[in-house]
Amino acid sequence: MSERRPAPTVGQVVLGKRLQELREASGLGREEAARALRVTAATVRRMETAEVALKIPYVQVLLETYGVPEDEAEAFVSLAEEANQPGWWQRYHDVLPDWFSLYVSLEGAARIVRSYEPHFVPGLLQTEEYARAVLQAGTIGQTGPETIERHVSLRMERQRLLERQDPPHLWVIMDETVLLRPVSGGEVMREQLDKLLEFAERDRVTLQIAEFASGPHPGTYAPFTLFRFAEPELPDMVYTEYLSGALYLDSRKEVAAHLEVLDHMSTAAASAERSKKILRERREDC
Amino acid sequence: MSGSESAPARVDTSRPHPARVYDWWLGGKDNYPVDEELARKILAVDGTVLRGARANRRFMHRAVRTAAEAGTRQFLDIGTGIPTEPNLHQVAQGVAPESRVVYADNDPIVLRHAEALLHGSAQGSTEYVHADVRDADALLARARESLDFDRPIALSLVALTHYLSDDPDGDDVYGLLEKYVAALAPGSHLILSQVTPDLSPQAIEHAANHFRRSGTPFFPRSLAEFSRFFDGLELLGPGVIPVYGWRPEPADVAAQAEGIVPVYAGVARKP
Repeated sequence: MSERRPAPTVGQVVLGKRLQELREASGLGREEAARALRVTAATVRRMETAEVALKIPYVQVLLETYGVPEDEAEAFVSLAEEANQPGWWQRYHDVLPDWFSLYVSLEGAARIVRSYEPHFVPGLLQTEEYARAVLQAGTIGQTGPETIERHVSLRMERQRLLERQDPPHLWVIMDETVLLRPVSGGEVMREQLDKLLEFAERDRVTLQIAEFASGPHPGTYAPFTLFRFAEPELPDMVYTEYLSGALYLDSRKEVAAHLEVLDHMSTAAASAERSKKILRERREDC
Repeated sequence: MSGSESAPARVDTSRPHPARVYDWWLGGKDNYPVDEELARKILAVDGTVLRGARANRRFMHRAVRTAAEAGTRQFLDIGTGIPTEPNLHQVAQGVAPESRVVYADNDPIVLRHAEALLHGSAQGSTEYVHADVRDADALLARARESLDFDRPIALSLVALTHYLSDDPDGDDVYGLLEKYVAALAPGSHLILSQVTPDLSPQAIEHAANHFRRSGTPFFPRSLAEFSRFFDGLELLGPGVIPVYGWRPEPADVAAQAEGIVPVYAGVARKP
């Protein structure tokens, strides 16, 4: 991992976007904004894209330059101060790739987390042993057991989210493959199925199985997650992974495409009630 | 919680759907670009639609609270739409946690959203039925699985009847409502709202054309036509009235000051 500053938190990403909107609303270009700060236009761009932390004195000058009313400017500054606080996950910076750090932040800030999982039980619902087996299989090269253990404990810590007073809704569409793919021994799978059944009973957890019998579906590319926030002005964000990194999408067009695929898959997949039955049957068979 | 099993395999999302157009007007994010496009087109010809959508939601809250406070403990909501807080069961169970609520919608996507995100009180029940309002027999049969039709039910069709035609060989909206009301026990309530051309005929004509061109038939109704839905029932005060005027709360009075919304609303009791 590089020595750069930690990956941005969701707050920084959102505030950066808001700063850009305020600039555009004032009719100023990046060059003009940069002049007010005596920096280059590239620095303003990096602030807006959350590549650098928001320096409070800079933010104050920009808000004034954009003619933002005082009370709104004050609220913005206090949010920026808050967003600059590192999250609990920064303790795992040794194993946490930058691109995944934002995921943990989004997950913690979201009101609804909708995901499609073609291969494995979603991280938030994995047992420790299942997580260990998946992480061991997923790491190639010179990853020592200590690193794997760090990853396992990060994943377990993420799960505290669901124990929060007001947890987000977790709505997962899991491919039937997940139930059939043996991960480590039978005992690991039995425990994992028990855990899925336990969480499927919760009001804030919806688990739907995409059965083989329902045929091909439009989500066959890669796992992805859509985050919905409580604040109506925040756009949905989509996270999707590939072998060596991840993409965060927030344009209306791309988010809508993922939303539409999730909606179609949710109608084609087994209902939450039927999915529990499938899980119970699978548990009895293994 | 009972799920709906037989959702069709594929829903057509290449065309706008009224529930998702409505969601866009309400500021929701569960809509696609085709829905947003139609929502914006209609907004351009009828600037009241955003307020109108909110006014319908607020009316539903007040009407459901009225029925609940009158002792109703069973609710059947047809054409539920995309979940929007607060939802009907939250209002009903807020008055009486033991309230039983059945949501019915013909759109499988709406239904999956409701199943995933709407969870009622532990004391009451909240169910979701995949059924079309036009198929009263099937819808009522499913609703009977969780509601007792020998006791009063508040039946709500909020901003729904303007998608249904009068045509006796088509939707036969009057015959349809008679059928639903006939199934209810005395003391039940009928909660309705729908778009009218009475107040701003040109804007509504343009809006209706946009709906029709997108494949959604649209039937605005006059005061007399809308009032006919309540024939044989006892209208609660103040009767049939533009939606913000129905037993307004302070926020509704404030909203009324922004201008009238071309929607009628009414609540009646079955004698």
